[in-house]
Amino acid sequence: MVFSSLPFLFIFISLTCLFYFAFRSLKWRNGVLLFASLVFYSWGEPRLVLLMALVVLAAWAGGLGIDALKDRPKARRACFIGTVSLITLNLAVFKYLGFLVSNINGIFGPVLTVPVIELPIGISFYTFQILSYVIDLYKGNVGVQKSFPRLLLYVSFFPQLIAGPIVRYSTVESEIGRRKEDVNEIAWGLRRFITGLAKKVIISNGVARFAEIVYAGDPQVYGRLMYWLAAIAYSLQLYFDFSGYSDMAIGLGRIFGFHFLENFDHPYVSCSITEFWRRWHISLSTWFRDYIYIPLGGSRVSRGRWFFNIMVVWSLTGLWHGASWNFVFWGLYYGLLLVLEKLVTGRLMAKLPRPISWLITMFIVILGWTIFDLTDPAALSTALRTMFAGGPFRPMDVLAANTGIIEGAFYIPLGLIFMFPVGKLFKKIESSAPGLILANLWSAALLVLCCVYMFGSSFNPFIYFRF
Amino acid sequence: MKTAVNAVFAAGVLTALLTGLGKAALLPEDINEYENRYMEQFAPLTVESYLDGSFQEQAEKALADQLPWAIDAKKSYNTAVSGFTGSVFDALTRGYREAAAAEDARRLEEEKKAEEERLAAEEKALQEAKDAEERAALEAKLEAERQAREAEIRLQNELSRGIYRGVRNEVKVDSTERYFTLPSGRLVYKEHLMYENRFLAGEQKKLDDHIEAINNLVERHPEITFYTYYIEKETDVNFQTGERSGIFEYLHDNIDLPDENKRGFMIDRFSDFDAWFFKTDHHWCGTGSYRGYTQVLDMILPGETPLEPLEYTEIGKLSGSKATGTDTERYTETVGVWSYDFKPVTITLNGEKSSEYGRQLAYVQRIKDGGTPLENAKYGAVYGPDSGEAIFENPESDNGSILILGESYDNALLMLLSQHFSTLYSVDLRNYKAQTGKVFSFDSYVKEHGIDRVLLIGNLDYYVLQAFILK
Repeated sequence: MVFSSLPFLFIFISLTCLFYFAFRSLKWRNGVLLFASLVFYSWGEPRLVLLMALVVLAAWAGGLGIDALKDRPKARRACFIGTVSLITLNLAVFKYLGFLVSNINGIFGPVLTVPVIELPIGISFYTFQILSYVIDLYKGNVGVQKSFPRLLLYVSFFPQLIAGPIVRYSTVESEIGRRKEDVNEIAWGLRRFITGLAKKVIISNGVARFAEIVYAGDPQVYGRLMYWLAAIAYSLQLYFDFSGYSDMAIGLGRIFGFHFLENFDHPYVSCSITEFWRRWHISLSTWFRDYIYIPLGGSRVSRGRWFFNIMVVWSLTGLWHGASWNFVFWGLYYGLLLVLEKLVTGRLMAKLPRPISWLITMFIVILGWTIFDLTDPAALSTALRTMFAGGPFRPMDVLAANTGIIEGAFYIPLGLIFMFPVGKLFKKIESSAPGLILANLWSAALLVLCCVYMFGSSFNPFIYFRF
Repeated sequence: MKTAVNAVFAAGVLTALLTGLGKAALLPEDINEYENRYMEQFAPLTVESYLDGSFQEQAEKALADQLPWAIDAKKSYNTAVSGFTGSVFDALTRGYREAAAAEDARRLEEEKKAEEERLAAEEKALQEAKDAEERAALEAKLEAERQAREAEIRLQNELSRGIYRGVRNEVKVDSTERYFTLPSGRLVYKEHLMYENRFLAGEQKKLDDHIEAINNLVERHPEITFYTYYIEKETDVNFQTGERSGIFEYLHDNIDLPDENKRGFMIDRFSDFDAWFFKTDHHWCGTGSYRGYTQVLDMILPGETPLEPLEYTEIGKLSGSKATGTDTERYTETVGVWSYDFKPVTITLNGEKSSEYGRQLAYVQRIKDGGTPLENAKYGAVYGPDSGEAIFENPESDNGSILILGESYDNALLMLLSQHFSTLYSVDLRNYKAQTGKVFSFDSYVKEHGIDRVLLIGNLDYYVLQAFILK
């Protein structure tokens, strides 16, 4: 089930809230959330919900083992490695086995049958969450969770299950067992949820239409300008989709008393690649930093080793997004750029006027998203060629190919405005009572508008099917 | 204060969502009038329906139909989007379209001028001829040219009667206008919504099945005179490039009937298509169907005088099948019908007597009585529905009977043709079994009704869809 759907709004969230707040005891409320989360996942993946439960079971048992073997370090380590391996193997089989076999066949000829395995939605997200629990437990950063339902609730909690953010166990450890819902927090959560919904339904879906039309069409017709606009549109789609989902997740979490960390901080205002990755998908970059980069030695190693660490982390970051070479290239692209920025270009960029460094950063980011978007090498090569050496803009040919591009184009300026932190103005308004009334009315109107979009348009791309 | 404001907000949102769900689940409605279909309903929740995902899929569809104001919201969204995109499209293409229209006018003027110059040159040459020999040579040349023009006129005359003898006109690309593609995939050419071209290569296999079935029928029933009539539409001609589908020619070459018995409604240029077809619906309009009627009548009863159209009356607006799911609000057109001096006929639809076939007369009368024009007329409602079986008995005719096997295009002809036959049987194979409760057997039907003339009539779909194959 996706947040930007009528069943989620009118069946799922309304009934979940009704039952959740009907109970007073936390135990029952957790029960409602767990049941709702399993329904949420099974709505689209009725059978694969069992797989997720089994992985959590493995992590729960492993966690108990790690905790019980406190006095036997070797056994504890073995238990830890076994649990992590099991969880990682599950991800590897379901997400990467087909890719691996295809590549082996590509090198040695058709020696193996490519397995057709359905990719469970959200597997990358929930695997990383479970791993964070096991690793943090092993390191002694969190306590063991003895209750399987509670651990299952942590992993399967529907707000963050299929599109993040990657919530670490340490973030919600205490709130699973003790939290307080407050009507002001609930209203805040609702407002945040509606903001995210509008980002997704209105802006992201709108600009997505533009990119989709251009990439599906004839490059000769669209030419250089439209390909750049398509790349910008896709960059906006990704941001508003992903940050919209994060907003919805944070908002939903708050309704039920959970405080998730922010996942996006207006990344498109960044003036360097380093800054961009501090602001984009924060939960993923910090996960890789804490669980891969630093254990590998981070930057406190020789220059060669540091370069190796960066490349490992970024190729894994790329692969995390999907089992395809374009994601690996995309990861390496950022790895190399970050190395370059640290060693050379960072100092140069810092000396440039901010608008110039911003433009350069955006150029790099947009180019990166084009690599990210087009999994087919031929389509990617065509897109890059057209962006740099395509034909001129021929408006009549563009309209002849698909007039739907007009509607898509309408949302690009909206996206360009709202990618800047204009929402902060609203936050100031909320501090006074009349301002709060205004903010609530605005949110209610926005919710109605989102519903109109959901009724009116069936175009609602789901970009997390690879995650 | 803040807490109270937030409590009202949170409770309000939750109540609105729950009320919506309650209405959708407990007070479902049956008909979606906006989209002219049954409303989707929730499916029963069972383990099976949940595991195979059908419950979830149906729940989504049901909510999109049954939630309060869902239809109004959809309508508003469509109106806003089509209003916006339409205005921008008009603004962006205005200059181009004006330039295209000016270019078209210039070309027409040039052609006219060239013809005038040719005639003047002929006249001048005749006047300037010095001696009798030179004059005779010139006259012979002009006579040859005159004969060629007469042969051309004869060809045009036959083509205008729908007869094809292996030669037909090139498509006249009489405009520099171009096709624009709507998000739904529908094309726009000038004011017309269009379907994409369908060429012989893509349809040949299915056409062969139909041709084989028709030829078998013709061979099996030598006692019956068969006629075929193929209606070209926009899928058969590309008005921008002048390409033809080649389908009519293929049917003509492969159906075993004399040329006079296998005719076609042929389109040679956009201006003709514009006059003969609706802008937003896939059917032919009153003018086009009248042309079809005269050609069909000429084929079956040569020399019979067709009815004359008397008066054209606008009966309202139409947003037809091509606009559905596209841009209904933007693409509407006025619709009118021709009045005819119809003699009374007895009409039986699917075994039941009916006082009318189509409401064309009633709609005209309504306008004449000062009634309001129709908001959204439908082709089937105006000219007659797709009846499994329609029988027209005309006591004033002694031309015998005819069986027409066709689809919705012939609906507009049935009342007209019924004026010329004692009994006209019309069968639509798509609906025959469902509406009459009987399985259609060609052999039994023609035997039972003593039919000696059969007309197979339709557009490309009729000649490729399985449902129309006569076994």
